[in-house]
Amino acid sequence: MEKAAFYILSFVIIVSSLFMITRKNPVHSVLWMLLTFFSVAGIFIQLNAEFIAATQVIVYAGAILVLYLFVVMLLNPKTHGFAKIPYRYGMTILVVIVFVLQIFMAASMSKVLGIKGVITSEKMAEIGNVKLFGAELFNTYIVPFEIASILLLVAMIGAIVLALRK
Amino acid sequence: MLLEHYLILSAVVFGIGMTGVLIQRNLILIFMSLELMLNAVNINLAAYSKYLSQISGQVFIIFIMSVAAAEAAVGLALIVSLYRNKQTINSDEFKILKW
Amino acid sequence: MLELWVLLFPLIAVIINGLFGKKYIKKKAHIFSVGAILLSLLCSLIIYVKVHNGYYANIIYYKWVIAEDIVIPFGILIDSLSSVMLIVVTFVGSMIHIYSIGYMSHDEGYHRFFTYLSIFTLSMLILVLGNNFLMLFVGWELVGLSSYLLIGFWFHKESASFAAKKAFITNRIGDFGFYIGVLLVIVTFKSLNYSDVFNNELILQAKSMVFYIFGLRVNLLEIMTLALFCGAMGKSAQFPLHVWLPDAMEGPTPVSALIHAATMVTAGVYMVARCNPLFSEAVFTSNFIVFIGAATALLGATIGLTQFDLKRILAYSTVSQLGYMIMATGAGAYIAGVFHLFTHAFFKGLLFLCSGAVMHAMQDHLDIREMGGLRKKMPITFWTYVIACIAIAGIPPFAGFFSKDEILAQTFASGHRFAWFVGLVVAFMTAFYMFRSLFVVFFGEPRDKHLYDHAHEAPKTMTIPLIVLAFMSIIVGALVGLPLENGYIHHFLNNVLVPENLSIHHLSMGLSTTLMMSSVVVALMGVALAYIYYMYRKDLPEKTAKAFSPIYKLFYNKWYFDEIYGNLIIQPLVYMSKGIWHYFDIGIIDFTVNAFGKSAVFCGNILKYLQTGKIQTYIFTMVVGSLILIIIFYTL
Repeated sequence: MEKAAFYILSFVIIVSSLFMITRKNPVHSVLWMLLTFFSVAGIFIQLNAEFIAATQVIVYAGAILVLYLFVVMLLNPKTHGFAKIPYRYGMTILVVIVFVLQIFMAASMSKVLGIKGVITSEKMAEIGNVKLFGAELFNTYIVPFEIASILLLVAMIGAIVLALRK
Repeated sequence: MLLEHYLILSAVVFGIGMTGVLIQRNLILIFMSLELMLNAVNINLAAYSKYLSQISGQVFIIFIMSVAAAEAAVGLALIVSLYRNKQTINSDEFKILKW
Repeated sequence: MLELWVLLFPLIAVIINGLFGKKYIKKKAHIFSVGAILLSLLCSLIIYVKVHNGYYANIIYYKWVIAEDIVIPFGILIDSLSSVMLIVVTFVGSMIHIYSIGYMSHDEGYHRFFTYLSIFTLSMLILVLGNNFLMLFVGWELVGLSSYLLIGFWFHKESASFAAKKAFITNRIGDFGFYIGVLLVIVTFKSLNYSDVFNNELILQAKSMVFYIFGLRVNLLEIMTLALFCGAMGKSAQFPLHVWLPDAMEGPTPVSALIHAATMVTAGVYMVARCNPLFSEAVFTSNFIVFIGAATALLGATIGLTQFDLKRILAYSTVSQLGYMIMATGAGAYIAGVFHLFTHAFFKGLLFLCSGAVMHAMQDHLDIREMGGLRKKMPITFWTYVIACIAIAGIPPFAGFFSKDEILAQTFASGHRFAWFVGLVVAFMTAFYMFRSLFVVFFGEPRDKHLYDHAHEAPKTMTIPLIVLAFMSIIVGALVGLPLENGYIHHFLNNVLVPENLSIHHLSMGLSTTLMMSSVVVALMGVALAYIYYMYRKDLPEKTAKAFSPIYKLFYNKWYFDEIYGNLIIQPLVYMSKGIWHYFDIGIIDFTVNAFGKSAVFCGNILKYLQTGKIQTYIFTMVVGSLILIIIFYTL
């Protein structure tokens, strides 16, 4: 069951992301991307990260993607197709190399680096993902959390300043 | 399910995102491809979080999401003002970054 | 603490004027500088009184240089010699500072001028007060620097900047010798403190260290003292390094008075006097010093006879008088040398200040052929000038008589008969050319009507120093020099300046009286001749000049020293430098450097095509870079 879910989800992710980068119409791309994000949320659930999955749907699919869609609609660019890339063949070859190398490296990750923690799947099931997650976030990572909030504030002000009509 | 499965999935998605950044001419789509790459990283983090029995990986996903949100906001604002000035968001048209 | 404050007051003035002068202080700069030097004068007087009552101090403030067993402190030495020098520097200095208030009042660089004056005062005081050769050297170089700054004060004038460079470079040549001397001292004595160096046993040891240079048998002491004397030659403008002093007259007149007459040029005499335990043991060096002193005195006097520029006459007279002092120190009469230094500071400072007042009145014209009859227009300047002339000519009872007579007598007594004779001739010439300038400038009919009509007496800030200095020029010789050769100053300086091993046997009463009479008579003859030439028979100077045309030309052209140096040293150097510049600098160094630059441009021209200006290319490059990094880390 788990395996089947993983393979289905993976298949959807890869196919939809490929469609996303190859569509000529940006609106279609955005919609394909929506599908990708939903599938990634599914992967998250499989990885015992329910809270992240929820955030993925709400923030990514709900907020960010809508923002993209909004900008696409707003600008309604008549830009289609692919860029005119210099050294096209060399680049293709290199991209393929990177692709293969990445997959090769990921597949050969037989030994797990790093220290094993204490929060096993059983414990997660017992206490609950959100509770553990919140404890970690607001204890160990409280300062980065605050900094992240400032980052968002700065980004907000920056966006307003940049997009403001002079 | 092994860790490698997730890692390969993440690698593939990352590669697709990278290809998208390289071949798209629409700046908005380039940004979207970037989001895709970030998502691939998120999968990676979540997988490690599970297989190392640590919750920190998930916290980092939250941070990456906030960075992605900030980047999307600023980036889209940039695109809007770029469009306002140049009437285009075709990356081929922006060639002044050279000698 | 008092000793340190002598140094600190000028330093504070330098800091205040130097930092805030341009923006905030401007025309009030004299307050700090004059105040500082007056306070220093006060301290010096107190120190003098203390020294008079037997005070002696060798204060070490901290250890400045520590190199294994050689420790050089920052220390101050107070003894009779340094207290006398303190009085000279601060007293004459303060007079000239006050004078400058009036003289420089219209100058744009008012604050700069006073800053430099304070720097100079500070450095001269360091030179005088230091208790070791290093501090002497530091002061030595600092007065060189301030001299450079002040000569080139009007740097927009090309001649001034050339003169400043000339002074600096000529001094450098002497200083190089001095530096070698100091190094030899440190090698020989393992210390630079006066108290360690002036140790008879060690000096005799140095004397016994004999080696051969080009087959000449020399001992270490001779070489050391000769090297040290090189410094004195540069700083005290001795032949053959005297060429800078007359050109230094390009600076403002107070500077000429302060540096090039009263204080800085006496540094060489001070140094030789201070090192008298070394010099008195070095027989060859002493004879050499007498020779150089006599030659310089004669040289300066002969050139002074023929010059027409008022300040240059005074400059050559300074050269000549410095020759006297150096001659005295060479003859072992250190007290006489310092005594002459002391009196000379007053009347030569006065002469220069008078010339400044005359310049002021004549709208910066300096040629004495354009002057004349100024007696009525500028009575104070006139009378003070007369006093100074009598003093420098050596007519009793004015200051110059006592010291000059003593130098001549002691030179005679020490056995340098020829030097004595030269000194006598120079005394005659001195009287002649000083009174020549007096008669031509202040008597007779005005030669330039226009200039004469505009002439006026100088303001009070300028005349008061003149009067004070004139007063000092009258009394100071008799005050400290009587009875002859046994006066106050002789007792005062006795413990420092009379080396144990050297005693000039005293002359018999009759002989010394004869000598004294001869020098007075010679001086009076000089005055009389000047009177005849420039007041009575005014056609005589022309005729004499024509009759002795070659000699006159030789003197007038300063013995062609500038030409000789120009052709023998400067021109070859310039040609050599030009050659090096053309072939080595441009041909090799510049070529190499340019080749590097050009190859970078060449590579850039090729590689610029990688920069397409498209975002994708850059991202792609980044990907390739990351790829390489990943491969490296993965394989590690």
